[in-house]
Amino acid sequence: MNASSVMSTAQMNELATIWAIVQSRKAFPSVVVITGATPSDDTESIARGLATAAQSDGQRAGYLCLSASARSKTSSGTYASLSVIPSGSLRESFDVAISSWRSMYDIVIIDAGTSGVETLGLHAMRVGDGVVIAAYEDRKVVSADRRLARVLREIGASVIGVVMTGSAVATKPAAITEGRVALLPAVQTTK
Amino acid sequence: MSLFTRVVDAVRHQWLVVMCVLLVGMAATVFVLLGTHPKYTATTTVLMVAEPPESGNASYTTSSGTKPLLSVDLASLATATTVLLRFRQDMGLSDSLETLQQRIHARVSIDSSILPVQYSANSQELAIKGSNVLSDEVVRFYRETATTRFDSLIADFNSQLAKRRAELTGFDGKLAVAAKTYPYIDVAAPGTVVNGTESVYQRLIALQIERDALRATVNADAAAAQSTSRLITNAGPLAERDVVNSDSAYLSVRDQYAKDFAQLKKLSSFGSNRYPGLDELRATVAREAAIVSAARQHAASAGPVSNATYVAALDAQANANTTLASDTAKLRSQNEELSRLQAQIGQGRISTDVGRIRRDRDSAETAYATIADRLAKTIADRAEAASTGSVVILDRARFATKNMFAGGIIIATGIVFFTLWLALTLAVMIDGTYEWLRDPQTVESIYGTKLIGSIA
Repeated sequence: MNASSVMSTAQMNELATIWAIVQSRKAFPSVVVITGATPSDDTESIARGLATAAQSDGQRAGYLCLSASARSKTSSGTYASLSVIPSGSLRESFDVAISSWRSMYDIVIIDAGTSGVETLGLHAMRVGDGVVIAAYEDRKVVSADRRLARVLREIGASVIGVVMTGSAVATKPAAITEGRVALLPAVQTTK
Repeated sequence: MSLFTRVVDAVRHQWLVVMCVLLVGMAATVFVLLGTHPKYTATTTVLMVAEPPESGNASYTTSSGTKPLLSVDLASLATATTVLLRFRQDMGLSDSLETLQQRIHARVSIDSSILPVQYSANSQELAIKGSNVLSDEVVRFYRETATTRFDSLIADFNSQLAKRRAELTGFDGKLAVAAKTYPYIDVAAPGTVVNGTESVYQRLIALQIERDALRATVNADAAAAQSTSRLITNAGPLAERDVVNSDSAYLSVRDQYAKDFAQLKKLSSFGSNRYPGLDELRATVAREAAIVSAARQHAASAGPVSNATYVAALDAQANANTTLASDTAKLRSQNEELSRLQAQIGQGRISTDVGRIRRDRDSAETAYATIADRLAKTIADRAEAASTGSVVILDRARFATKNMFAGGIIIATGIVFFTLWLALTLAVMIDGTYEWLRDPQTVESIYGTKLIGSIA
């Protein structure tokens, strides 16, 4: 992701508002998970946007991307230090990492991607302090939407709300200035 | 959400459907433009000559009641199936009749006897040839139909007349059978004489008149007989008196008795019985009274028949009784004859049937006359139509004009608009069958949580 790509002022203001809502709902330090029902819902933009908003608010923000789309981008080197985090057997190491991040940052933003298929993302939503659902505006309601809502209820996740995204966000992703928003190191795979 | 926004969203969502419909519409438009778009049109002018001047409107009818073929009807001949078939054969075309019909335009304005026959084709030569050939076929077909219509009518009238004739023959046969079966029944109209014999009605009336006259005669005879009888009754004593008074012996004795009786009364009036001979006189008078009575009885014993007047009265009575008996017998005979005839006529069913047959025959005869009259008029109209109501080609087509906005363009434009409308409608309809994440209500109903922001 090109760091020079920036959001519009209106989008930044909207993200700041959303961040204020998130901040008002959860105590710090906290872990906020961003998820969506379909890949088009663009959880990545919301996650990075909220990290940016937190950083603008003077918070120490940590950002972890679990989504498949973001993971594929990591191979391009845009986001250093991010690696594929396997699910299942790594749950314990993930929990250890979360605990350490809580002590290191005021807020940790986790992009869980499409959580219906990301088992680790589901775990993150369960142990996280809040979940923000990203939904692409003006798209057809699919069965994945109802499945996501059902899963969130079943795991007892604390849902903060829904943020609608659009094509403008997808084409102009939020910029993250390195040094102010920490890109969390990869969780090492141990087999 | 406004209608425009909704349509735009529907098109954005269902773009594939919209594209498919538009592609089909474009293909149809191209097909119409390439396949049915004629480029040239030629016109031939046809004139209907000798049309009745007052037939400028459709209310004109011939004397037979059949409307003639007017110029306004001529236009429909151009697209008649017979004309189209002949036209297709003449032109050597293989197009369907519907296609040919679309290339033909023939319409005449009201109050005009001129029909422009237009034919459109892809080439100028074909348009000119087609227009001329089509006009020839229209004229040919008109000449056929102008008399064919009357021929059909005439054939129909002849058929009806034959049927009526058969009916009349049947009625005549029935009447003949009735006349043979019931000879006393008047099968002819009242007042007519059939075969020199008077009808039963006339005979009946004559008999009734005779019977009335005879009845009056009998009444007169009865009155005469009664009068003579009364005369005899009254004349009997008078005749007897005349007979007694004409008896001389009786008159002599009576006169002597009258004298002696008068003498006796005279002497007795003196009041004394001392007159001599008085007793003897009394005895004489008494004796003479007995003699007178005996003489009277003797004179009366001859009876009134000896009186000429009385005998004449008796003769008159006998004659009256004879006449009365004779006339009474005649009257009885008349009454019997009348009863017999009335019994024959009194068979109402037969009389009614004959009357009904006669009425039916009269009706059939009237109908026959009407149809025959119409047939005559139709034949005259046919002759008139064949001679005067003809159609000629006024001006043949020599050139063809290029069509800028012919039917193909109009149809193609219509297809384009229809396709566009269909695409949008289908998009909106299909889009309406799905649920969309557009508003906070939908989001909250799906996820069960609030919409906290939007960065779209």
